Amino acid sequence: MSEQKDYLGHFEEIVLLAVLRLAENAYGAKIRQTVAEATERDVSIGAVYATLDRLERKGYLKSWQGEATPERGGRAKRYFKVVGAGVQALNDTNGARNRLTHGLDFGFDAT
Amino acid sequence: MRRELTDMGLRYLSWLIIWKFEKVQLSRFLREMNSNERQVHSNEAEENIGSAFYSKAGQGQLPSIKMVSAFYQRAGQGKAVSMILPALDRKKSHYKDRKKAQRHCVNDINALLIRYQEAKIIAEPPRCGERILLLILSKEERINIPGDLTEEFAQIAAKHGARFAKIWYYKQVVGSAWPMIQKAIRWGLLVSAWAWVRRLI
Repeated sequence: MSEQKDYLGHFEEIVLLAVLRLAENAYGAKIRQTVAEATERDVSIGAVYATLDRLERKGYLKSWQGEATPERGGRAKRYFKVVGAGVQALNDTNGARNRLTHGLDFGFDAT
Repeated sequence: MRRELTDMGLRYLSWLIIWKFEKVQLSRFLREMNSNERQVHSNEAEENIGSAFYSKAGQGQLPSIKMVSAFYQRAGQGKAVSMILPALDRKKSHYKDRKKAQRHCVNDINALLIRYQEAKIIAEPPRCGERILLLILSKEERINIPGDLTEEFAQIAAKHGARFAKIWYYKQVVGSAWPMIQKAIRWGLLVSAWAWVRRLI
């Protein structure tokens, strides 16, 4: 029996990919901007943080406090980084999606 | 005798005319001199203000409104704004009273003051929105989330204007409320469920 795989929710996957894409510069405001640009809709910072917290609890992310800057009103940044389990979950979700969509004709040109 | 008296009278009259003329000339001369002197002093003062403005703005400090007015007259609006805006980021509470600032400044400075106001707003998100946000956030989130919103607020205000940024900020507050309340309810349910399980055990 193969080990049970964890699949990510749609928004979780997007947020995790945004953190992966931003690499060293992944903190709340940047993650929200990246997600908003990718999804082409205004995403609330609260929704992003709720998802980030959930992903951290699941062990897909780790976070630490960064520096406080004057343009943030002297408040510190909270940086995020995807850990091994997060990358694994992304691979699993992507694999499942590829297996399901393989050979399917959506009836329109995806490009 | 009569002739002598007439000569004396004419001489007195001519002296009076000359004296009066000289007095007028002298007073005019003095007036002009004073005015020139005042102008010289005023130019010097303006020169000093201009150099003080440069040194203050160069050090990243905010010059006084008088300095800005003088510098505005000398260098034009664009230069004054570009020199002051970085300093404004460092000292946000300046130029609070726009009317007072206008009284002390030339009329043309209005446009400049509007930019000041915008810059002031850029640095400060709406207080009411921030308070609401602090109410709905948990203790550990009260540092990061308002900080992120303040940072983005400044970027949006610089790009689309202060009004747009304010609306965006309130939209963010309203949009963030539901996920945060959901989270609080979830935690509350977990805590009460745990208390119930412990009671059973």
